[in-house]
Amino acid sequence: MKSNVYVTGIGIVSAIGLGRDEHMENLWNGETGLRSLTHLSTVKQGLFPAGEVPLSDTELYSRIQNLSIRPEHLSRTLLLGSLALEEALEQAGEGVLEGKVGFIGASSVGGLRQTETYYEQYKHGGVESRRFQTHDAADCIEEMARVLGINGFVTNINTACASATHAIILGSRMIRAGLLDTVIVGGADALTKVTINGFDSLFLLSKNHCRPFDRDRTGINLGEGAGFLILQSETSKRRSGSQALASIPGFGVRNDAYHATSTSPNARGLTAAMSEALLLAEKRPSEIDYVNAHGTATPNNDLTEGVALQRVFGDKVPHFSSTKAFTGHTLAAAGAIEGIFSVLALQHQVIPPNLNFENPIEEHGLIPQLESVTASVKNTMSNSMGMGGYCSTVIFSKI
Amino acid sequence: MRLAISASSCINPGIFSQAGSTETPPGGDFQVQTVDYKEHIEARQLRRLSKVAKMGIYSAKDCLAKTKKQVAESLIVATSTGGFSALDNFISRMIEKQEQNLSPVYFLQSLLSDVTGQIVLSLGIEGYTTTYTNRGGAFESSLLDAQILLEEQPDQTVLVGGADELPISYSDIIRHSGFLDTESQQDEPSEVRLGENAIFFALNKEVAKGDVLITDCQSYLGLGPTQAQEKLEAFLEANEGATPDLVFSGFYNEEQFSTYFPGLGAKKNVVLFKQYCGEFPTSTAFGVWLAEQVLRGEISPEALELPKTLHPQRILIINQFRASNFSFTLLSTNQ
Repeated sequence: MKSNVYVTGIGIVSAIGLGRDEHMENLWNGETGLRSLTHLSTVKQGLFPAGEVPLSDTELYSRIQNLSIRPEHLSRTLLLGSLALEEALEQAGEGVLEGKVGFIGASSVGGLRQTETYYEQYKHGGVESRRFQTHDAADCIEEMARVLGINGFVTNINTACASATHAIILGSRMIRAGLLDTVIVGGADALTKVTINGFDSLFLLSKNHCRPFDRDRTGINLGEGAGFLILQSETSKRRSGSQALASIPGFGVRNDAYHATSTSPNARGLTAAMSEALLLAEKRPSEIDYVNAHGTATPNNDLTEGVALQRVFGDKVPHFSSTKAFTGHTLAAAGAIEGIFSVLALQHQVIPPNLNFENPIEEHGLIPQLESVTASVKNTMSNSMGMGGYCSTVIFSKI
Repeated sequence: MRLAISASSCINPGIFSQAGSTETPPGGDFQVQTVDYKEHIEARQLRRLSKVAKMGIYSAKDCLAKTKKQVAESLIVATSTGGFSALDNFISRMIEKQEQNLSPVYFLQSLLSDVTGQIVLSLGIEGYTTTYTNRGGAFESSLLDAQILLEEQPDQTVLVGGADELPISYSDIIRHSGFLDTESQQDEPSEVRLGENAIFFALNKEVAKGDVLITDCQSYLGLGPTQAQEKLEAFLEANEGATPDLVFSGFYNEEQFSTYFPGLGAKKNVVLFKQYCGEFPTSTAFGVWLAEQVLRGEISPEALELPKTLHPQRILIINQFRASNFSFTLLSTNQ
């Protein structure tokens, strides 16, 4: 018998707040975090709205209470991650880090912000070149693990915008396989010039607030943030006395194998991932009460994801929303942030809305959830897709 | 863990080259130079790929071609420096052109997740795919994931590989920043040849007599010498107790190795395997490939300057990266 996987702690930082409470409040009130960039220095500051966490690095650092991260490893990604990690650990309670403990992070950006700032010094030598050790996205994840004294299984996943969902899934599989008792899973990514310019070079950024699933959507707003979840086995949860917030009965990982940057017309990868998750969870499609969609607001994503939802759920597509018009697209952290929204929906029995929607996409005609509502929410699903064809889905269930 | 290696492929610029050049200058970094990528990649596609993607596709396809079914359902890739050349190009142009008129090609190639995506497109893999990027633990994570996957879906063939590139921009930075020593206590910079490589394995759950197996792989973060010894003892305890006759060490010299594992070098045959491949984050993949070749009899012990009489049945790979990532991997021939 495979062990059940329980979520016993969640911690979150994004443009709409620090911590669970601010997130719940702003999701409920429909308050977006999208605004002009102020902390990231780029010539495109006023051009593209973004989900920037409204605090400087110094302000973020001053809010970290317990984790003694080493100054030479400092990066904005590490700061965002540490704040989310602290909140998750505090909620799970003392004693969760006993037994076989692992840390599975997801970051695609890591210390890229230092790299783009000090690149000339990195290349030619200079006092700041020692900072190069923060460049690998793994550095911030390894530093968080070290601070907690975790020296066993520590890894970093990069499946682009699906990274953190892949991390949640690997953690769940390791608990089911009996390889770990407790595992910290999640992701963190800061905004950088390279990502803004990279997405801009692909013509994927919107100059206005993004409009997921709207007919007239014009692209992505990037964001930054972090989310971490504490996952425990049944035995581990009982031993630490942690309270389960949700369970993870199923998940699916597939590849779309179609194109490097766009999804196949019938979204075969995501469809297969969702179907696999339902099968593993032994749930019928009608048992899913809410889907937190990937919903990047690009023409390709929202068209094909809608098709995938219809292929899996038929003409009874559940309540769904993309929360990216709140947070922006937080890249490798997105799956963790949105997975946490899916857990909050179960805990608070609410459905978060999809902002800025006016008209449905003609091809599938789907209308997302437009207002926050209370509802009976027993099972939620969180979808992610990343460049490279990565597709992943997690199902969370109410305890 | 019990993973049967049904095929492998290694682009290695060193003396054990299967596909790559042997032109690595003595003492210089190991650079892959003269691979005929057209064997496995269409010319049209070649122009759009980063070096790590080219090496990865070549090695993955070459590996799969050696398997019976020639099909893999899943793909797990470890990379830590993949796309760095493209990132160097993108950042340099971004600075130079003040963020204007940038080509998306370098951005896409710079993503660490790109090599996996490109292999997927070349091979049409629609099952489980993922990418690990945690430096000296990334390939080890891939093996563990493959193990879980083959428990979940026993009939699959899983393609698992390590791929890292070494553009000049990267080797320059490594040396300027003291990157390889930033987590170790030593004052002197490590004088080590760097490397690049792409190494893929087709792994199955089903095991036949004579197969080469990966029987265990454990990775650790931030161990001191005492902890490392304790972990090794526990690892061996879980694996028939005794240390194998042959150890492949990923330390740079015997002195450094004996700081962590005193006495082991005197008792066992130890090969410092990075002399054949250079240092790169996923070098354990090369260690596993080399061990597989020795166990299969494809590479003789003499070629590694070992006694001719040695007929190893088990090989232990002890690897380290930056004195921060550590791992033990055990291979054996199935009797």
